[in-house]
Order: sequence, then structure tokens, then C-alpha cells
Amino acid sequence: MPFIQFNNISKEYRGCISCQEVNLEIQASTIHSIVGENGAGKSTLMKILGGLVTPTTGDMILRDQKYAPASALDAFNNKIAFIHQHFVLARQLTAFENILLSSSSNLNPLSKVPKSKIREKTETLLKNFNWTIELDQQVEKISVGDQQRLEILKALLLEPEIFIFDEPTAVLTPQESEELMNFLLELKRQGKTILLVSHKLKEIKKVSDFITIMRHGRTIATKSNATFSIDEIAETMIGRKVQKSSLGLEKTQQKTEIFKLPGTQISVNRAEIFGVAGIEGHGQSQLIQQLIQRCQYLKIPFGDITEDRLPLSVFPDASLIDHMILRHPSKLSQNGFINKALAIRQTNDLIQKWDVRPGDAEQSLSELSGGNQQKFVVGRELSYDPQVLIAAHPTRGVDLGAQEMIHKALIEFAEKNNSVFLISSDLDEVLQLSHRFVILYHQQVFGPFERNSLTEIQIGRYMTGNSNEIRP
Amino acid sequence: MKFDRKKLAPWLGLCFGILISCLLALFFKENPLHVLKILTTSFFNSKFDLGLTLFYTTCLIFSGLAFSIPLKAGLFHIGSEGQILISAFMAAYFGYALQLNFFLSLVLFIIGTLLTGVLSASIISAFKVFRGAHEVVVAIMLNFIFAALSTWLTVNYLQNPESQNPETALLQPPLQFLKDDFLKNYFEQSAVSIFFLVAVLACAVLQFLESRTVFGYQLKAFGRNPLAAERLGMSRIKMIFTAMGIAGFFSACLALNEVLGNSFQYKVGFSPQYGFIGIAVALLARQNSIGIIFSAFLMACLHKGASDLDLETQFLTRDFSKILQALIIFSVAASYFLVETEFFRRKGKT
Repeated sequence: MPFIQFNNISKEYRGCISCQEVNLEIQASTIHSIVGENGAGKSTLMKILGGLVTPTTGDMILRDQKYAPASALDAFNNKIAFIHQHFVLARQLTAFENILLSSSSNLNPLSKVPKSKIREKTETLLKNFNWTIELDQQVEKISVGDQQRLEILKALLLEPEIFIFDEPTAVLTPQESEELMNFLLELKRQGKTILLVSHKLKEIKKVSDFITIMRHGRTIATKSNATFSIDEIAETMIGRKVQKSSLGLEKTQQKTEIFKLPGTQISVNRAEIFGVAGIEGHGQSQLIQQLIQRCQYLKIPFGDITEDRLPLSVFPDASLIDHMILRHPSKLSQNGFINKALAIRQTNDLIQKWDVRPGDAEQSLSELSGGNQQKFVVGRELSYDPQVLIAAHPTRGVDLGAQEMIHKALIEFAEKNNSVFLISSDLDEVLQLSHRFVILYHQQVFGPFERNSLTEIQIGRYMTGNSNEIRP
Repeated sequence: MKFDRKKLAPWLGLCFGILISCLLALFFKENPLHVLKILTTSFFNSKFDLGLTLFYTTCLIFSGLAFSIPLKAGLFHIGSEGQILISAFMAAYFGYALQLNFFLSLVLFIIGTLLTGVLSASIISAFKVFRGAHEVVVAIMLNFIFAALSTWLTVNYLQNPESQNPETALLQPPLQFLKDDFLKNYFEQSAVSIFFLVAVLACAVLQFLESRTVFGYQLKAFGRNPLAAERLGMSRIKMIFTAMGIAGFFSACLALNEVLGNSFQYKVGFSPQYGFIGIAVALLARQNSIGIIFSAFLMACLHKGASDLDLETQFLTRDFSKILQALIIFSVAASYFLVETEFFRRKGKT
């Protein structure tokens, strides 16, 4: 008998079908990965299991018993832990205070346990996994990887048997991701069952026992890891062959300089993608700010794909049309009065061109899935012919299909004699797309380097500050 | 259709407030049903009463707008009361001091009053923008300062020599032209004036501007996500000063309604805290400018009823009616938080 069984699960959100007759079996003590494009229904399925969403139809069987959670609490009483993509931590408190905070709710079985016991238990867990989180350090001062471990630790204290990880590596550095994957394997050795939702196929391939692919709310295939290649997974996911975008290397066009950032070696050239690599928080935001100011000062039309979509690009309760109007007010209005018909037409064109789903221009942007939000934002920033596109993490949290589309758009945009400024913490992305690139470390700028002029190891040294011996 | 608790919330609050008030009446040996009857019916006892209710409505539309517009831009503006008082005093001053020809006096009078409202509101914006102070704190302190200032100025520099009450001298006779207002005449010389129509018109115009102009969109966008708005090139300073300026403008309109349309002078204590009742008005209407007309009328009816409790009942006093109104305002304002409690959430789900 399978450990967890989904029978004909369907979920409808206001007429939008998110999961459709999903049948899925999860074996005990395995790592079972669920992959699919954004909006394929994998998050919804996990939320159903985690008690956050009730299915419209269908039922679940857990440990040979019917399982119908009414709330997250029910799930946790059934020893299911949900580790979310976004951290739920109080940044000003210390790591240990966060643990106490999470167990302080009356409904939490740990709420009656004395503080010293929890401390003891936490430290044992840390030792077991060889983790070194400074428990008395403020959360905002510990690394992102440690913050995630803290989230996991909070769940571990309740001794769950089933772990749901929703895109756990989206914000981690490559090394941290690697460590997390090893941790998952360790959990499996201890007999836990793990459900992993991720976009990163390499990771999935590395740790999973079984892989389920979802598309348009349905499970398309479930196979054991050994019988699946990465290319096959990717193809099944998007339903066709994946094309890797890469630059036409022949330099047919003249690369004239549009402007140079004062006080730096960074110049913005036509027909060029200029990359900025480096771990996040090492001066990217300041660099973006400088670029925007320079463009505004020189009155060069520019597009701005912001580094953090939700806080910087999305207005809650505002429709796609509203977002379009807010971004291009002068194009969509006369004498301060909005030309609504034109705005609707432009928005619908954009939706069609970028295949934004579900495709209702009146829907609020915040209700769309991450990938669709990003497609909309990229499309919006590219409309009305900007000359410079500042693209910060343009494919973060975005599925393969959308990623492919966005990369292609960046290249095409540059080929039309425009300039792309690509800031990304995904090194592969920078190396694959840029003609020249710089590396940021602690507000310092290294470079620019020509494409293919550095090995990955050399780049890695710059990124981590061990660059003294190799400084050119 | 999705059941939206938030839409229902202020109405629940309103009912809750009235219910508590009626129960409170029991302690004063009054029949709650009798209290309820006065509250709900006294506004149309006579044409004069209805006129008075419409006057209150006018005031509450203005103060409701003074709260709702900044809220759209994400500002919780409770400084309307102070702005009303200082603008009303300045209106009385201008009306007394300006002795030019009628037309010029009137224009200067109106501009001066509106400017007072805008400037007094800008103090809040300036503290917020340049010093990082919270608008609620600045506003609540300014309310006190403006109230004290206008009383002091009235008593010491502009006291009406013919009266024992703290009130200013009357406007110059030509400026009292609204004594012969057509609405006033129709409602048996009640307090209502042409300003009622101005207020309704203002709501309609605002509704239009909000949904059709770039600036209206920008203001709402700024309220929803100031960071993203700034990233799109909107100026935080401009947004805050404009939203607050509009609020001050409407506070001053309320002052004009009182001074130019009703009493022709500034009477200390003329406002039964219009600025605060306006908060309930705006919340009831969920900041919808057209909705504010109706919620203002509703609150005006209640206000009229509450004021009449003093006369119509044996034990209830004027102070009780204030308690009653405070309860209603409090319940409406708190209702949003009430529906977010576990109890209502569960109900909403099932």
C-alpha cells in the first residue's frame, strides 16, 4: 500500500481549474519530486496535502486512513511539515527566539514545554545534522541558508514524518542548495517521506526516487528517477522540445556606447547584453539605482524589470490594465485623462504576445502565478520601445517555458540595436547571455570581462572575495 | 460569488454600535425601543429637521472625503477636526475684515479659507515627509493645537461684543447673502444651504477623476504599494502633499459650509467632532466617493437623532448622545479588525 494516496483530487478557484483529477501515490521513506511549469497545479496539490486548501472533489488516504485536513493544524497533527518558499521569520529576533515564537501558539504541542527543554532539543538536532546556526544571533544577521535551516528546524522540533518542501532552493546559493539536498537525503535515511517541489531539474535528478510531472493541473507522468533524463523531464513538462537560447556570437552590429556610468568602468552599449554577476546584496540595488538615475537624467527611455517583483512591481488589488496604465501613463492618456479603451487593447495585445495566463486583463496581477506575473512585467517593460532594459533577476522563480521566452526576448531586444543590462545571481544565466560582464563583491566592481575570458573557478573567486591573487 | 467579509464589516459595526447604545440606555431607565425610535425617525419630523439633517450630511460628506482621499494614498488622516476649526476661524476673520467690493471680498474670503485648510494639512505632510513622523501622531496633536488656537484668537481678538458666548463677530452683511438661499427657504430657514449641492457634486467629480485620470490611478497605486510607485517614478513628496492638501481643502469646505452657509460667524464648539464622524462615514462607504453621500446621510440621521435624545427623553442628556455617537464611530472603525478574528473567519469559510 502507498503511504499517501491522492484520489481524483480536483480544485477549482473561481472557475479556474488548478488541479484536475489528480491521482498520485507516494511511497513511504522516499523523496518524491513534483515538477511542472508555474500554474501547473503542483503548489495547489501540496497545499491540499498541507491542509491550507480544501479540494473541490476527491479524497486523500494517509497511512491507510482517510485524510481530510481542515486546517494546517490538522496536517501538523498528522505529522506533516510544510516548509514554504518564503521564510516566516521575525528578523529582529534571534534565531532561538524565533523557534520559541513558532512554538508559542496554544495549539502547538510544544507550547507547554519549558524553554530549556526546547533549547536542549534544538541543540541536539543541530548536532545531529552538523549544522552551525548561531542560535543567539539576530535572524537578519545570519545567512539566507541558515535562515532556511532555521525554518526547517522549526518544523523538525515537532518530529514530523512527512516533509513538503516548496521550492526550497529558489533563494539559496549553489553551495547552500547542495547542502540542502544532502540534508534531504539524510532525512530519507532516517525514514522520513519527502515531497519536493522545484524548478531546478539538476537537483531533482540528484536526490529523487520518483518524479511526477504535472501540466495544466494534471499529472502527466510518474516515473522512477533512473528511467528519466533531464531532457525528457523538461520536454514532458512543457510538452515540446526545449530550445536553449544563446547569443549569436558574430558581431555584425557596431557596438556604440549609449552612456557610461560615471566613476565606473561600466558602459552601456548598443546591441549588447551586459551582465552583472555576484551574490545578491553585494551592491546590485545601488547599481540599478544609479542606472535608472542616469537614464532619467539623459532622458533615455528604459525598461525596468525590478529585482524583487512583489514589493517593487506589483500593486495589490490592481488589474493588469491598471499596471499597464501606471507604467506608461503618458502613452495611454491625453491631458491627464486615461484612454481606457486603448489601455485595454494594449494590455490584451501584451497578454496574447506573452501568453500570460489565465489571460483576463481585468484580473489583479497579484493573483497570477509568479511566472505569469513576470512574463507580464517583462512584456510591459519592453513595450513602447525603450533603448535600455535593466533586467534584474528576470527569470527568478519562473518556470522553464517562461524562462526560455524571457531569454529569447532579451536577445532579440539587444539585436534590435538596444542595450540590455542583465543583473542575476544565477551565474549560468549571466554567462550564457552576456557579451561582457562584471562581478560584484561588497560594493566593489570587478571587470568588465569579455565573454569566455574567465573560467568558472576564477569567477567563483571574485564572487566570494578571494580575488587578490588573481586580480588582473 | 465570493463572500467578502470586509464589505459587510462596517455595517456589522454600525448595528453593533446602535445595539450597545440602546442597551446602555437601559441603565438610564430609558426604554431602548424608544431610544431607537428617536434615533431612526427624528430626522424627518419636519421640513426644518430634514434641512438640519441635510446640513449635517453636507458637513459629513466633506469630512468623509477629507478622510477617504488620504486613505487611498495610504495615509490615515485624523487631523480633519483641527483643520475645520482653524479654517472656520480664519473664514470668520476674513469675512469680518474684508471690506472690499462684494465680489472681490467673496473670492478672497473663499480662497483664504481654502488656503488655510490646505496649509494646515500640509503641516502634517511636512512632518511626515521631512522628519519621518507618523501622520496620526502629528494630526492628533495638531487637532488640539488648532482647537486651542482658534478659541484663544476668538476670545482675545475677535470676540463678538454683542454676545456672552465665545464666538466671533458676524461676517460683513453682504457676505451673509446665503440667508436667502433657495434651499434654506425651502426647508423653513434650516441650516442647509447650497453647499449641500456642492458637496454632492464634489463626490461625483472626485469619483470621475479617480477612475479616469492618471493622477487618480497614481494616488491609489501609491497607497497600495509606495515602494513600487516610487520605482515607477512617482514622487513620494508630491503624493503625500497632494493627498493631504485635498483633505485640508475639504476640511475647509466644511468650515465654509458652517461660516458662509449657516452661522455667519465662528462659534467655539460648533463642530460636534465632524472630523471624527467623517472617519466612520468614509469607512462605511469603503472610501467610495459616491457611497460617501449615502453613508454621510445615514450618519447625519443618527447624529440628528442622537442630538434630539436630550429633548425627547427624560433622563438622557446631551453628553449621553456623545457617548452614543462615539460608540457607533468606534464600532465602525473597529469592525474591520473584528471580522478578522477567528470567530468570523470560521463563519466566513463555512
